[in-house]
Formats: sequence, structure tokens, C-alpha cells
Amino acid sequence: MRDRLRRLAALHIGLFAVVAAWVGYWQVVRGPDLAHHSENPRLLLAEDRVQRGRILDRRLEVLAHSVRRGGRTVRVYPKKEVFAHPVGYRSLLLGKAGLEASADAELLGMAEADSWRALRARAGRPRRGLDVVTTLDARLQREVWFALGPRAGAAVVVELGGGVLASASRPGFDPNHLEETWAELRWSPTMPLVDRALSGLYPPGRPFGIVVLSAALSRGLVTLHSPVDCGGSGTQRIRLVRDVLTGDCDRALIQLGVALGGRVLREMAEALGLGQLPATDVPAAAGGLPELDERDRDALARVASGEGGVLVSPLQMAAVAATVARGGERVSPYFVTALRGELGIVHRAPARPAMRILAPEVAHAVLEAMRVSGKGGVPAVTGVVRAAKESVGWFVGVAPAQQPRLAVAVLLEGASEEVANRVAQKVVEAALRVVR
Amino acid sequence: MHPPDTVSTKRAWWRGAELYALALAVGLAGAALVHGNKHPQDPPLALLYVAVALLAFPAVDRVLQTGEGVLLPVTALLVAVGLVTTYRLQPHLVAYQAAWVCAGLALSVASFRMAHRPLNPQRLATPLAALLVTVSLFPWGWAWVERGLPIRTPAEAAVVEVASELAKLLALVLGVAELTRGKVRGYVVAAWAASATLWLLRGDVGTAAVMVWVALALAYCAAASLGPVLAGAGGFLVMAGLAYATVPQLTERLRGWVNPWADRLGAGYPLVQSLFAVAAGGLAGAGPGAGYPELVPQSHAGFVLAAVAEEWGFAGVTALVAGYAVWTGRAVRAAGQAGAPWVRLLAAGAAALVASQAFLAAAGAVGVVPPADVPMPFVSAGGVSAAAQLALLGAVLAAPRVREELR
Repeated sequence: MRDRLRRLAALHIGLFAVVAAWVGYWQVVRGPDLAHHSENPRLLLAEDRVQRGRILDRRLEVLAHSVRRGGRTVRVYPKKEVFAHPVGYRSLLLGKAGLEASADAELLGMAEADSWRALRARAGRPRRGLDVVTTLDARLQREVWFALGPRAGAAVVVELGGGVLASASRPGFDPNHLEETWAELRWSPTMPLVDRALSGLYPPGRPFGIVVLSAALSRGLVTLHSPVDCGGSGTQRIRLVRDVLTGDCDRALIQLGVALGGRVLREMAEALGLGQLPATDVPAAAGGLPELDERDRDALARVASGEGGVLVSPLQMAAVAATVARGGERVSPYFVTALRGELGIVHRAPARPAMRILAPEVAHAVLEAMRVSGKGGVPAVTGVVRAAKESVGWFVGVAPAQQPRLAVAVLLEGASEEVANRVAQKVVEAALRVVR
Repeated sequence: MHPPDTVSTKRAWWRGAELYALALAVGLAGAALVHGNKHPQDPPLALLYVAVALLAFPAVDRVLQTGEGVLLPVTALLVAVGLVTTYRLQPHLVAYQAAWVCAGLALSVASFRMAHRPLNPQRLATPLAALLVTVSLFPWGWAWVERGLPIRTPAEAAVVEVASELAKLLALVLGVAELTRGKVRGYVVAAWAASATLWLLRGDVGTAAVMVWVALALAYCAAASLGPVLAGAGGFLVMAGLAYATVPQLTERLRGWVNPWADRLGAGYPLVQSLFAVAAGGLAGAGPGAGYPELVPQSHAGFVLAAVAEEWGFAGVTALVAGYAVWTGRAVRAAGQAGAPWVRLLAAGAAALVASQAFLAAAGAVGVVPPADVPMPFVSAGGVSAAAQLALLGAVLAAPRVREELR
């Protein structure tokens, strides 16, 4: 009987060991990913206990912070509708959007980066989330917002490193009064809740010529000084490849596209980030590139002119221009530069490895063509294209003309090329004041 | 009368006090942290209850002079964890729980003294069975027999809890009585028939599983051959399959266990929430009162391990589970030292009763076995189960001194 007793004890103690090992697996090995599971209610509940971190612009100006008001914590957005789209909102009723959603764990201090904070939490003192420092510039954003005027549209300013300096979308909304105005915003035909800069998808029109020209030059199909037939009659009929983006020579651009074929065009567009999720830290739309039948020359011609199912966001077009201006190294836009705890910066966005998309001489040649087509001394491609209901005006450019430091994309619904260009000139002026 | 004659009981009063001091420290520090984090406005009466319940242990030790320096203090440690988690999750129950612990300690003194008499356990079975029937037929007690009836009132919950503890005790006492008379096969069959009734009528997985577990452990210790034990285990599995296939709420529960993530808001909800809580604990835990264990359904009862894991971390869970392992080891050792076979069986059965419940509750909370609503011995809120197990502890403590055969 003694042997059996011993075995009975051993069996039970062995079972306890199994349980301890199993708990250890879930706590230590699987713990971190379960902590961030979207259905774990702790993230939402922790907000009552944690003082949510602030969202700051690149000069540490406050874009969003929390204050105590009447016994409960209220999120306050001092810049109101100007920053409504990139900063987003946070509401227990309506959920989260923008940076408030994508940087949620960091704002709540749930990120593992700050172990000092974790230690303080153990001591039972009130916790503070991390401040999120963004690449956005409050002054520039305000000027861009007012430059856009009352029309529906969007503008994005990206520096060549990828940092988004401004990202504005009209019409906007005031995130401070979201819950009161929700029903109106939700069903408004102008769709103010949609961030047109990141998630608005439009046919690119002539600015898609940057992709076509890049592909033609990369393939060695033409050089900048090859003659092209622009159609029509008279002396303006034969021009050089460097003129194809100006708007007087769309026929030649389309011919280049058709000559390259659908596969090549698609490859170049994808390499430049079109039809793909932008590698940004805020949710943005991927857009689309149509599948092409090489023999269907009409479809090919429509794609080469930036229509026929090509859909892009202003952010993506700004990234394309930035890639060209950077000498062919791909630019991936981002919004968050650093996280700040109470003791200073605890985490910096890692430097992104440069990936070469275009040979430097190709990039310089495309930039040269943009200089030729740009009006007012800003290398750019403008265009107007028919979207679902109305025409949209585009501006995709870089500045300054010599040694560009930023890329700008402007889109205006129901506007002409000239209006888009006029707005964009104001944006570029403001942006150059900021980077100077 | 057969006075204790084996162990020298003369000791200085402070000898062996370290573990009691540890239990008291854990209980008071934990309760104080919970108080600071959760109920800073209330008067800290809970600290008083915790202190009273925990100081009763060394007092009982002094009265009984057991000479066993580990079992009682480890129990006190487990009870301390239980009082703190109860104060955390069901603060209004902490006074009851402390009272039940004191009552359980009084029962343990009684059972300690009783074990010294050559009392035939069969004589205990009759009053236990009578009590069980009375409780079951009590106006609210119908909840015990009516399958799937949700428990609505605290009175019903208490009746179900008392009836469940009585059934387990009865299974143990009857087993000891039958097996000392050599009736292995009949007893195993009777035990699993009784638990089958429970499964199919009430869907009470936990009580049934513990009853069969204890019956098999007893039969294994008593029987010369493994045959009846294996047959009993096989019969149990067949019965479990039948019950899971026919009782709707069990089918649902099984589905939630096989793949909790597939139905996170339905059948899998308790287990998924429990795993979230366990994961939130990490190595050191959030600290008593600083986590969110109230998100886990039944976190004060069957899923109490999730609450401990979230607020005390892996360190706390390991300590808790190690406490049960030590408890089981020492109880079986005490059983081995018993001179009389019936006491040996009783102590071994008591060890299996506590260990099986600790395992089923802990393993159920993290999905090793299907969740079974088994209370965690000494820890789960309520106190009835703690009192029942403390009563058994008296018999275990007495085991090494009982040399007398049954007449």
C-alpha cells in the first residue's frame, strides 16, 4: 500500500507540474500577443486608469491631449478640424481613427518599450501613457488647410526621408464634438469622415505619366531627347520626350505606355508603391491597378493616361514624386518619429532601409521632364481627370526646383488643373517656409 | 481512549511559527494592497477578518499538538490567498469566508479527535447521507436535481455548494467503509453510477468528476489489482462522452473548450477571457487589486486561478500550485504513517479529494481540461468547500497516530 500511496502522490504532483508549465506558457510565451489582442477588453478599460499620452507635432506642439472635466477624462483636440484626419479621434461610443487608433497601445503605455513605466505601475501609482511625436508640422498643416479652401480635396506634403509634414483633407469635422455631430457626419454626401489624403482613391490622370516615363527611360525605350509625335499639325507636332508631361503631348505619353505593355507598366507602378498598402504607420488605402490584356491596346492606352481602373491616393502620388526627387530611392511615408515617456524619448522610429527603384540618371531625367512641365518654377505634373461624378484636378510636384527637399500632392474635387495648380503653389510656398 | 503516543509534542511556542508568519504576512499585505487599490473609502475591516482567520491556524496547532509542522501552515497560506482574492472579487463574502474557515478549523479539531476512536466510517455515512438528502429536498435544494436550472439566489447557490461538498465527503467515507471490507468492485460501480446520475441529471461535471477521481484513487490504494481501477476509469470516460453528447449545456461547454477562439463571444467566452487574464499577469502580475480579473466569468469560484495569475503573476501561480503539491505530498505521507488501514485510506482519499479539485480547477481555468466549475480548495470564495476540506484535514493530521484496527 505504501508504494501505491507514493505513486498516487507522484501522479498528482506531476499533474500540478503540467498545470504550472501550461500557465507559464500562456503567461510568459503567449502573454505579449494576447495583451494586444483586439478583443482583449483590458486595452479599453486601461484607459480609465491610464492618463492617455499626448499626440505632438514635430515641434512638440500639442495636437491631442486628455484633461479631467467634471470627474471624467475628456480628449481634447486644440487644432479642431485642421488635424481631424491624421490625428483622428477616440470615443468610447464611436471607436478610434487615425493616429489615435494606430498608436493606441503606445498612447496607453501598453508598448513594451518603456520598462520604467511598467515598474511604476507595479508600485500602484497612477500611470501615464507615452506621448507620440509625429512628423506633422502644425503651422504648415494650418496653411495647407486654408489653402485648400472650401472645396472637397486633399493635400499631402512629404519630406524626402518619408516624414509626412502635412496631410489635410476637406471637408473636415471637429473631433471635439464628434458624438453630437456623428449622425450628420456619417450620412453627409460629402463624406467628411473619409481621409481623402490617405484613403481617398482617384484616377491619377496625367501625373501617372511619371510612372510611364520612368518605365520608358528605365527600359531604354527612349531618352529625354528622342523625338516624339504629339499629333496635331504645324511646328508643335514633333517634340522631345522631355516635353511629354506638359499636357500638350498626351498622345506621345499614351504611345509610350502602349509600346511598353501592361506588364512593364504594372511592375513600375508597383515598384513606386501604387496599388499597394503604403508602408505608413496610419491606416491608408492601397488603391488598385487593373489586370491588363497585352493585346487590348485601348485598355492599355487608358491606363497609360492614368485612367481605366488605376486608383491612387494623394499620399501615394506624393510618395512617387518623392521617390523621383530622391534620385530613385523609394520613399515610404510615415507619421510617428518618436515616443516620449516621462524621462524623455524612449523609442525612435527605426531608419528605413533605402531601396533603389530607379537608376539615378533615370530619376534625374524624370525630374528634368517635371521641371519642363511645371508652372511657376515648381517641377510638377498637373492634370484633370474624370472621376465618378465630376472632374478632379491634380498637382504632383517637388520643391525647391534645384535639389528638391519635399514632395507635394494636391487633389481637388470638381476643380480644373489650373485651380489645383494655384492651390498647390500656395502649399509649396508655405512648405518651403517650413523646411527653410 | 487512546492518547497520542508516537510524537513528542513538547515544543517551544515559536518553533515552526515561520510559515504561519508568512501566511499572515501574505494575507495582510495582499488584503492591504487590495484595500488601497479597490476600496480605499471603506473601513479596513477585511484585514481584521483575515487576521482572525489566519491566527486561528496556529491556535488550532497549539491545541492539537500534531507535530506535523507543514500541513497546517501550508493550508493557512492557501487560505490567505483565498481570503485576499475573495476580498478582491466578492468583498461582501470575505467575512463569511473567514467565519467558514474558523468553523472548518473547529470541525478539524473534532475530526482529529474522532479519528483516534475506532469509529467505523460506515456509521458516519448514514448521517452524511441523511444530511445530503435533507439539504437536497430543502425548498431551494431542487436546484440540485433540476438539470440546467440556472441558480438564481445566494440561498440556492449555498445549497448547491453544501450538497456538492456533502456528496464528495459521502463518496469518500463510503469508499473507506466499503474498501476496508474488501468490496472494491461494488464500490467503484456504485461511485460511478452515482456520479453518472449527477452528470446526466444536473450536468454537474465538477462534483461528478471529483467523486469518480476519489473513488478510483481509493480503489487503487486498496486493491491488489489494477483491473477495477482501469475499468472504473474506462466507464468514467464512456459516461463522460455520453453526458457531453446528450446534455446541451455540456456539449456547448465542450465546444468552447476544443476551440475557444472559434466562438470567442459564445461558448469560448469564459476560457478566452481567462486566458486574457492569465496573459495579462506576466511574470510578476499586476499586483493585488490592480488587474481586471472581474472580466472573467466565475473568477471568484471556478476560474479563481485566472484572478491569481493576473494579479500575482506566474510567480504567484507557481507558489500556489507548489503549495498544493506540498499539501498533497504531506497528506499522502501522513496516510503512509497511519497504522490502521482504514485511516490510511481516509487520509489518502482526503489527499486525492483536495488534489483532484485543485488540479481540475487550475487546469480548467487555462484549458488543459474542460472547465468544470470545481472550487479551488481553500481559495475559492464562499468558504463551504474550505470548511469541508478543513474538516478532512483534521483526520489527515490524526492519521500518523492511529494504530487501532476497526472492530
